[in-house]
Amino acid sequence: MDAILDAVGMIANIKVLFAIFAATFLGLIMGSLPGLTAAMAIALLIPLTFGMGPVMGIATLLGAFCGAIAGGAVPAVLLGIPGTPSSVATTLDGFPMARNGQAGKALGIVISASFIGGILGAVLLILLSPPIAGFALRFGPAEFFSLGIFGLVIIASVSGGSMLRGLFGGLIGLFLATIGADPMTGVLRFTGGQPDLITGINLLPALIGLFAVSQVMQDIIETVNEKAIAPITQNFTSARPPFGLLAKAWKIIASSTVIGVVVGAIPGAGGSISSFLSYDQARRLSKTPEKFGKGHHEGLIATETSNNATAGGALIPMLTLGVPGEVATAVLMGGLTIQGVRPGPALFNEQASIVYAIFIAFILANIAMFVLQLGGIRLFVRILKVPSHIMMPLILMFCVVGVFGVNGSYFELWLMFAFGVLGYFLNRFGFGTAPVILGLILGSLTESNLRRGMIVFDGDWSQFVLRPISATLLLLSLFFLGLIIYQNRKVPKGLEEPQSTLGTDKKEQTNE
Amino acid sequence: MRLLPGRLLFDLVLLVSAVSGFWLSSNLPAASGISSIGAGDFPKYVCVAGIIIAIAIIIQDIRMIKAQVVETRPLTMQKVLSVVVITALFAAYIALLEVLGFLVSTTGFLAITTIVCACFIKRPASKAEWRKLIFLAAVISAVTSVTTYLAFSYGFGLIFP
Repeated sequence: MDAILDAVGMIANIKVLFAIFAATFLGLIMGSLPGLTAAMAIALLIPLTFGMGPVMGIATLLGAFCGAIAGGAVPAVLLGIPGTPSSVATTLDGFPMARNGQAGKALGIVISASFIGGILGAVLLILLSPPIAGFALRFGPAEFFSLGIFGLVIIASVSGGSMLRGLFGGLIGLFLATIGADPMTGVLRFTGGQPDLITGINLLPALIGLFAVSQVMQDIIETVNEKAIAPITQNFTSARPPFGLLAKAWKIIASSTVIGVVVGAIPGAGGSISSFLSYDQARRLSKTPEKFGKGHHEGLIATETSNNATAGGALIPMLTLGVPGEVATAVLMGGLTIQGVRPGPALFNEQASIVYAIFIAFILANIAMFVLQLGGIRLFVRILKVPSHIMMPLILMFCVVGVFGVNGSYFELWLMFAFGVLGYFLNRFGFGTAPVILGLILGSLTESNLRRGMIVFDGDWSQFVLRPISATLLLLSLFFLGLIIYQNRKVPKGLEEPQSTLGTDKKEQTNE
Repeated sequence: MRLLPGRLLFDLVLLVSAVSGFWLSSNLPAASGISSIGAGDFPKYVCVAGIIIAIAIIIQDIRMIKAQVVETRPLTMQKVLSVVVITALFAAYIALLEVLGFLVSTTGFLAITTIVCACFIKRPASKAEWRKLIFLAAVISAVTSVTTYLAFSYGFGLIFP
């Protein structure tokens, strides 16, 4: 109870509330622009949170997270192009509805459904996290090592493109995490005589390079010689919440919320998967399944409810186990780590008030998202018309401001540049950037727990497979690895580079 | 359909990188004391896994050639040029940041990159359109640079060159 009261005290501060609203607004803008992603929005905001306290910083990042996930629905409805990969399924009924002259109704539905899904997802997050964290307190070095391996294998399997490539991406991240002074012996590893690398690779330039700079490079290619598409805004005056329609669709809302939270909680899965699953489920539950795909409100309610419930679900493994639920939460976790908050089961014991502050901030971010979208929907529509030749240089500038502003290090600017180029080629050839960043985040956790485990077990490797939880996680990892090998025996599909969401190609990618 | 040579070349670069990483890891001190895992062991395990997977990826890509499966969408010369030029401009911006300072380098970068991006996306068709583009690029760049400088310096306390 004390922790909850402390958390309320931390959040009930005009600066924190302003930060949540401002960050949610920025997240909505970033999510609304095809080609920009939730992960990019969070990565670009992380440097701004350095001067804030941990609670305000975390609340800011959560606001951007919620805003960006929800913002992707606007271009999905008005342009037929998802703003973020989570909104791909929203185009199925949202765009046809707009084309039928019901753009305002469609936007009203997505805004309300997003809000309901987000709030219900937050409630489940609050209810489920403490017992899971309690279970995870039984984890020792062997379990954390196995969890790190499991997290990497899982995210490699849904990284887009070939799963083998995703696995290699994770290994790149693991290797990069070893650069610097060895924490146990102090031996310098792979620094090349560069003093800036003694403390290892800073997460911030890696995040911004991999998610923002490389994305801009991809978007440049996508927009060259492509016709600009104008948003559909005929008969659009406002976006009012259709409460009557939502009340009648309560079964779809309930099922979509559960699907969203469960899928979001699976490390590596994300909003794009949950929204399609919910869409399919909604069609089964509907009395008029033949109307799906032609502008049916039930399809839209299902995808947007699930999409935003996934955000809450994705926070569960991140907060309780220290393993991100999907790509944007991987970046969010990097942001929390930079703020000095290490997600994991110990967080619930040692910093319970921070945990409850996160829960409250997440609920407030969803409220902010609802209010801002309702009140500012015309502005977001106008933002869609900003030409990409103006937007892209601005984003690159903010990348430089973000990285340089924190440490004043020119070396880190070049590091960001190098990661941007690396990220571009990784995306181009089907490797994805999410596994790399996850490897970088989980690398030190995995290695340190392996070595700590070997010390604790006196060099006995068998303890890693004899302990039940560790054995289960390793077996699951082997199972998914086996699945990867089996699926790659056939001629693999989908080796095309993950496409940017800009332009007419709507192929989904998991780089949220 | 043939694979683009770039894909296979990139796979080979990754394989060579994994082998190099293994070699560098081998030169690190071995385990000592109560830990049986030394500074170089974990990166070595990672590189071994990387070598195996890189070989599997190369085999997979070669099978794709034989199966003639369509995969990476080929790029036109214009698209390649666009990303190379923008990347070069970005590198120049970073290099000149210390020399010219934030305001001058950022204004220049934004203006030039906006004009270059516009040329690649939709080249202006008349002199009037060119004038409009240059004017807008200059104004937006200057206003954005100054606003960003003031907002981040005085608002967030960041220090720029």
